[in-house]
Amino acid sequence: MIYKKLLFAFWVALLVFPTLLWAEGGDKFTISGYVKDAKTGEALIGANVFIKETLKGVSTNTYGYYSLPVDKGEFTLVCSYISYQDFTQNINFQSNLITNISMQPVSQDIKEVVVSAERQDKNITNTDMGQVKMDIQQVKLLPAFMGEVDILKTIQLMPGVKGSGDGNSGFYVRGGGPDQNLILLDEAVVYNASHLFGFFSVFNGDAVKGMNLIKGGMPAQYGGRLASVLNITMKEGNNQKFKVDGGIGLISSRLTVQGPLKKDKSSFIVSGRRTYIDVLMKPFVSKGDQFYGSSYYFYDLNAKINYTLSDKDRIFISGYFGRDKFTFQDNEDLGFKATIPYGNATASLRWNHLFNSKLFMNTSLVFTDYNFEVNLGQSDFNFGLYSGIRDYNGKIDFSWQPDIRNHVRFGVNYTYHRFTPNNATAEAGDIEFDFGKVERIYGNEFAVYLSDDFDVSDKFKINAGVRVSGFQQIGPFERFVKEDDRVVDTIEYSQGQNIQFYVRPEPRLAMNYIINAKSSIKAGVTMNYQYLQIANLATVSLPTDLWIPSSEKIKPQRGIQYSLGYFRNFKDNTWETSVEIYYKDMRNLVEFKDGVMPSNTVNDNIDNLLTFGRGWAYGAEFFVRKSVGKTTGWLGYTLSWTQRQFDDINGGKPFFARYDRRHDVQFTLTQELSKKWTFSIIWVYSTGAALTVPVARYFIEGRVINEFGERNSYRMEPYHRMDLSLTYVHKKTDKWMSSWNFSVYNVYSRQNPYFIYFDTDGDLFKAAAGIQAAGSKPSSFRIKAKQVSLFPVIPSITWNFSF
Amino acid sequence: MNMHNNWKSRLVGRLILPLFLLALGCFTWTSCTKDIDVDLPDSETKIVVEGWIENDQYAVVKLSRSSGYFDPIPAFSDTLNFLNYVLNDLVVQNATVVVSDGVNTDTLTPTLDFVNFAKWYRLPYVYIGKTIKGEVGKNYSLTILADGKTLTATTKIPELVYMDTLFWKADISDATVGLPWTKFKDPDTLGNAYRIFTRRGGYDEPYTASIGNEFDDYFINGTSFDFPFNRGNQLADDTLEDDLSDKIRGRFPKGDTMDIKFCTMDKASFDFWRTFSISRQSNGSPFASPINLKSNIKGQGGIGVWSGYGATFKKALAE
Repeated sequence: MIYKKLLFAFWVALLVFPTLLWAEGGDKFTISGYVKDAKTGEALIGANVFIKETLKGVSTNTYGYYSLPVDKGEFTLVCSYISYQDFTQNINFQSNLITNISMQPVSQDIKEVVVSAERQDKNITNTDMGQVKMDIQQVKLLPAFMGEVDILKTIQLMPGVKGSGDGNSGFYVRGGGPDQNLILLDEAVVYNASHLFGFFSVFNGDAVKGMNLIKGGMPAQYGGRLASVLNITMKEGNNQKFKVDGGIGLISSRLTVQGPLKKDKSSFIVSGRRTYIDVLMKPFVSKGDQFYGSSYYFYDLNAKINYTLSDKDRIFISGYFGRDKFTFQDNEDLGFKATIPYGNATASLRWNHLFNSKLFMNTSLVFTDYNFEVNLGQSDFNFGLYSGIRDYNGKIDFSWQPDIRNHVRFGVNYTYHRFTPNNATAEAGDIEFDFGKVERIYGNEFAVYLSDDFDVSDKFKINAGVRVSGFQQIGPFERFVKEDDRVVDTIEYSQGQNIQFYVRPEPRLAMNYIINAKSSIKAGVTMNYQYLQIANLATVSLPTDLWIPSSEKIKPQRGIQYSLGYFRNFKDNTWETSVEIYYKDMRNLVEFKDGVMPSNTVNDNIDNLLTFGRGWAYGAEFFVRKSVGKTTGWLGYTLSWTQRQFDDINGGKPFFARYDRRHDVQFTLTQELSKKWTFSIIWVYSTGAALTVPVARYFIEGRVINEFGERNSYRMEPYHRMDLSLTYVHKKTDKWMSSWNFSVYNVYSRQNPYFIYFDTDGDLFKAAAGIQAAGSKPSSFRIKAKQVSLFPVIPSITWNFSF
Repeated sequence: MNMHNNWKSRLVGRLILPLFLLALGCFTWTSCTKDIDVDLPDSETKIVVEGWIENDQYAVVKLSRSSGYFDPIPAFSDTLNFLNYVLNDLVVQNATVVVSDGVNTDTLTPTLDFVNFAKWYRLPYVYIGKTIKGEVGKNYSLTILADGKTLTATTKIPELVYMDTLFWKADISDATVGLPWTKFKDPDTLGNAYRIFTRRGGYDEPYTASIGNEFDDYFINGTSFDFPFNRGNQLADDTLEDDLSDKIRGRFPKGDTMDIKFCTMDKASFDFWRTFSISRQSNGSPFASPINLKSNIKGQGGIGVWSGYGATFKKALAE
């Protein structure tokens, strides 16, 4: 029903637009161009460009491009961006103009930052809801675990976003699972965003420019995931001069080289990071040691080139390659050994083209690959397991600003997916086991969209859009038809043959009513479909998690989110506050049936092992932020509920998701103490994670067996933690900069629960055999609960340099 | 054979956890571990059924009760309390246990078995058949009336499959112990399942199956090859001197007689014993999802298994 109402609202909106779209009159011109950092030539994303006299303005897109319609006559053009000096210029508009703006960063020498009184209150005036933008410079001042700047950990500090405790980069947005976040690095999907089973993210802070997280009210240009979009932009490289940045930390080192290929026209950046714990450990492990030969490392490599072909054309080529590698060797016990390599690779080629000052196009060709491998060996046995996903993606996005009241976006998106669920190989001596054929699943995913950001009046704005998405599973494929858990038939599909085709409309609507210059009310409804998902066997995210697409058995996941928010700014917009409430309904969620093991996927289809259900989440988010001045930071509080219901799980009764948290508090504060010293503090609190625990016990063949109770019915202790950091700029000149970062993780050494296990105490049998220690009393047999915590207080130090 | 069932727990227990420590310098688990109180809701007491019928043998059924997770058990050496607990709380006496082959019925006789109890820590109270002996290819139903509950189950004794070979290979690191190896020909039809029981000859111990010694023919349908398996550890092995019990865990010492019972079973039994193995392996691991055993006992308040075993035997010297 809701769905029909949405469609209705959309069509009404769509009928109204055209009459307004071409209702231009009088002498109107357009001023457009790119906004850049004057020193490095890096495009500035989200800079405000506006006319001082009318306060009408726009903000720059991901490529730093703006297009602003203006009236004939003399006006003042202003561009503002945090930590940059305002740009102002008087212009007499008599024709269309192209003006590229170079912004001067606020240098340490200028004590008073000139803040224009007309600073645009974007959070009040635009229709964006549930969005968080962050510059890497802000992230770098916050305390970092082991000194590793980590974007994914920073976004966990935002209301509505939850982490999964210590040592995990997985994040959960408004009750969605980790697979419901679309993580994009320069338009390329990153399927597994973490290293070391989640302890560190794959995004090297030195190669990243900034990020934008959309946790609600997803605009129509994004889709394919229910919960959020995390858009991460890589630096383009300094097009003015060569520059080297680097850092040496406790566990890894980084080096970045950037510079112009052709000044003002073209630049490159190459950035690498590698951990060296394996190298440091080597001298301490002797040859005779049981684990000699075991090691672990990860590395990342980012590279990007951009080229300005003309005023109208720019090309970007960027790539990422990262790998984790475990090697494990147990020299005793039949010589058990294992290697586990895994990682992501992405490549994207993008072409920006301006048809005219009003119409901007970006075309992207993207390649993405994630694969995971385990090789185990012992004695004569070798066992291998590999899985992965590979995408070829092409998309074209248009951005059209016909007049000051409309911003139209439209585009197409196509992806060819190749999924490799767990495939096993095994051999015993000369004999190879029959593990069936390599199971691969092939699919086409596509989407077309159209949206308009439309100012109905000065007070009332609408962003209406529709996205039509689809997914097709195609052959080759072998379907195992099952009855009562037995394969009774197999169906063969040939290459390219249609197996299943889904097409789904996704209407989106966001509205903003501006009460006054300081406050506004926003509301939104979004419908999303998701065609691929992780089926998770374990209770934590692991690189073994399998991505599997929609199929005959797996219907596309559907999410509808309703949100409502009140936004108010104080003191010339230096303080932003907001309250947002949301309700989210999710259908066709997947889980493995109880008791499924990975080996069951042999001679079977993985979707035969799944069970389907629904979920819902609701909550309220409170947010206060100060982003200018010497003291910056924010305070967030989230009250939320997240539930699931599956007919085949928990006897059909609804249960809380593992990451359901009633309360979440996040506090960050950064204080510039002097030109040389900056201090930061983080404090987080959240309700304990939900857990399934045993409620009863019995004996089978004399062994103690646990009977588990209702799914996720037990709560672990609350999680809370404080981190501190101090950044000291040792030397700063135009030629050489060096700084030290001291971080302390978990300052008061809180023993946060990582997991709980149960141990037996007392001996059931030993006393009978007479080997009880003399004098000790026989102890009764009981089971004890033990809580394991991961990290006590951990200080770290990092040295960064730049020349 | 254990390889594919065990890879995950191996990965967790022997690889991931140590490497977490290695890489992150959390010095020992104990420094990060503390006892906590876990408040659990009361649970319903269930009748736990452990029953089987083997070719040429009478049916055997053991009945016990489940208990609250943290309920203590008196120490074995606290004899009176312990016996009181075992005989009155743990085992179910006064139950009516009936096995039927569809034509005849056999009401099982309760029997006290203190020898196996004292020596091998098996339940001292056993219901044993007296008229129906298991036959290959036949179906058997079980009906239990106990504590006011009615429980039922059915099973089948599948066709026999024989071991072709049985031999022993010494460990590389220690030639005084080794694993048993065998070879059999899996029938061409898919859907056969097996469970291997072992015992050390001359110790008068009951046949016992190791963790992971149940498997089906998903991977190996119609094939035949040599493979190693583990000796089923006796609970009493835990009472041996520590280094000896570790040394012979899953292994036969050189010179032992390897006495092997090789059983075929149906899918429901396989599912139960497989979940039994997974449950024992994954207990407490944060990387495994909680698993309850897949019972084939029908009726409110009952849990457990009623297995038909098609058993064949082979013995060989460990040398």
